[in-house]
Amino acid sequence: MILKGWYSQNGWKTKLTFINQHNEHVKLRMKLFEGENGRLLAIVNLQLKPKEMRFYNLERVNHVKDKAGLILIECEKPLICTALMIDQQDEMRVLDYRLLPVEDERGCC
Amino acid sequence: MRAKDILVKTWFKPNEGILLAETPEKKRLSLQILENMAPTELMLVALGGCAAIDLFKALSLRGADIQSIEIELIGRPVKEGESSYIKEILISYLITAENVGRREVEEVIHQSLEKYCSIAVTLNRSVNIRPRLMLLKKLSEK
Repeated sequence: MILKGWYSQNGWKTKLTFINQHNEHVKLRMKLFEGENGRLLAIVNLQLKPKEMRFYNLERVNHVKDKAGLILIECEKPLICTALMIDQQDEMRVLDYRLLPVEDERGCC
Repeated sequence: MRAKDILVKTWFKPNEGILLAETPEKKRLSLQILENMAPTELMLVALGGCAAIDLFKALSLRGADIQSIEIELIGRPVKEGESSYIKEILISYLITAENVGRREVEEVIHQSLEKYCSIAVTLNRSVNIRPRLMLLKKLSEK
């Protein structure tokens, strides 16, 4: 399953929340790109414990400092992932959204 | 769940040495026997084509910027009594792409051959398909 969303560390701070509803470990790979079609800036691999809810602040990723762009999250099993974006000038301005799965139609026909 | 049937018709015209194929949507293929590809080679083309399209879709969804996917296939026939059949297919990939790593490409190739590429999944029941070599060239290294 692939989830798609947007982050900004440029005037904003982005915090992600992952929720693993399964009774087993789930591995995920998060890719952070520069802009919508730019280069890949960072890959973060995580493993969530059964039923774990984990917060991940993108300030931890040095390569995306002052950048904004696309996030793609590939996970073995369906996960819930939300992003909370906070304006650094005015912390009352926030954007809170859920990352949506992109259509994963495979095969040649 | 049963998916929609796939229908094709083939004709062999011995006098002209031509093999024709057509789908209900009138998509056609015409092959001159001895000059064009043999049916067994076409089977490998079908596998290579399906594997390339599936790999392109899967890597594009993961944000990879793909310039080309080259696939080389080797069919290993064996003789058993009167019949000859392909027992093993070696499939080698050469991918030119950016924004993707070798480990991820290998994972996606394995998933594709085991699960998503329809031709590979069909053939897997009787043929051993082995990904043999994977080379990943970065776009900037062209």
